[in-house]
Amino acid sequence: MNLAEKIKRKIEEAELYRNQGLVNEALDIYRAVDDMIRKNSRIRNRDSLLSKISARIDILGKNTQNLKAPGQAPELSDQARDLIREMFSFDDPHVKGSSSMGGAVSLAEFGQYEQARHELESLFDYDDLRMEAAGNILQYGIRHLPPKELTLVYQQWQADERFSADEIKHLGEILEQVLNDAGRKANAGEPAEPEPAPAASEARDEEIDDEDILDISAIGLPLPTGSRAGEKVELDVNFQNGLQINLVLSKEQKEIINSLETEGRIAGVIFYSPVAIFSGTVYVSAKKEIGSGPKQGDYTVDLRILHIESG
Amino acid sequence: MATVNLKNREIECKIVYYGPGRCGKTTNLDYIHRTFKKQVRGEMISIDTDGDRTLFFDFLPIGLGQIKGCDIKVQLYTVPGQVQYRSTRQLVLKGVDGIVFVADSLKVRREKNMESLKDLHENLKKAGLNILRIPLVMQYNKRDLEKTEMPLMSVEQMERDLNRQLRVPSFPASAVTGQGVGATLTQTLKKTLTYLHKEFQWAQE
Repeated sequence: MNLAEKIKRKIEEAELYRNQGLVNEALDIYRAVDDMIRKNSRIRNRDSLLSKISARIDILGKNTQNLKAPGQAPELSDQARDLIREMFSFDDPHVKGSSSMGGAVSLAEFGQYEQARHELESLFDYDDLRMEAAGNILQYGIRHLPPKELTLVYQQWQADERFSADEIKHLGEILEQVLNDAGRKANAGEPAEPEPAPAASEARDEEIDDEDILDISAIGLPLPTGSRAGEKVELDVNFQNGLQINLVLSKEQKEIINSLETEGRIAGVIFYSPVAIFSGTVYVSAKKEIGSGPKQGDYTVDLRILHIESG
Repeated sequence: MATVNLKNREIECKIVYYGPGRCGKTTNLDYIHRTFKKQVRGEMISIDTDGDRTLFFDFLPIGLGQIKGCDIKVQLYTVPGQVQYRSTRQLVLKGVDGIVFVADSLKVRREKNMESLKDLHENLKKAGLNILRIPLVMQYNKRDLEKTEMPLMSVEQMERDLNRQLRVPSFPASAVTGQGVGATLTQTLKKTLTYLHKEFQWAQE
């Protein structure tokens, strides 16, 4: 197998991994290909190839970081919350209010702290459940609130007539324990287990598969920001892989480049394919200045199709 | 643990699809949801995916109808595969009755398969369960890629890596095309219901 074929095969492999969401594996292959090309100065289109691969490495690198960095737990729909309450509460059916307690704790376990706290507070009226509910607010609170804020929650209870002096004293001890444990963990450099959370800048692909997408030759893009906001510009597609579209914008198209913000969503985009025209929403997954080769100074922009309008 | 109501002759059990990130757990449930319409009892709920990744879990309720005089309902779940969501996996495993371990056939995922199986073993242990006793079925997914030139492990190698000690039923599969998906689920249900019969003597002769 000659070098060109070897590179082609490797890129196909990397693309397969990327399409499967295996970003680290794709990144490793692209780095190996980059290395392969750099070591061989006799490759045709070497600079352009290196520039494309470098752009890919940048995008994948960014995706990898996003996957590693847990953000805030996502806001769940009512349907999802009901399911969590129902399926994960494991409460005692013989204890009144236990079902609400179990449901609220389940929500807290899945990172829905604010909702859980609200539901736990509603149990303060039950003498049997008040302390357990308040204890849970403190135990789960430390994962979501800064210590100062959690202390404030406790201070508010001090003025709440539903708590007796003994109860307030006991809750103070729980708070102290919770804060000490958290401090010890932080000092030991123990990473807090992240809440299940979305990879911040990867786009959700709810309604379409890569296979559903036709070849797109150009797009009509309404500029989202800037002095020409709302104006629709037509841009040729440089490269497409399923839902991913790559554009190359000349450095002269400064206003368009500046208008496209990474991680932004743009609705009302028209997609021109040889057999049909359709519209939908895209997500700007990457924007990068080309650093070398004949297109040096131009920009490469990666868009991901999120949604196609039906009908 | 399954809910077994012998008075009303109802059983509700929980099957969890486990495996490394991007191995095809959600795709398995998607296929079941699309294909076994007669058995599906409700919407498939995905909580919550971002960039196609399961962050909490997927849930699909199915019903098998009457088996040996009992109405059998099954809750199918997936776990998030990414390493850092361990606590979520532990939550989803609570009360599990049967497990499908979905392994990725891509060579580059060999270590991830093994890590995930180890993680399953540890999480079951934490839940007071034993991987050698719980109904478990292996699925070697993405076999459709055999047609391409992508580096794939052979089924024999995957058996050696993952099933040498467990010796549980295993199925080559492609969750994308549906090959092996039904067979995996059927075998898991058989094993789970047999296990539950030993525990609760629910089946009428």
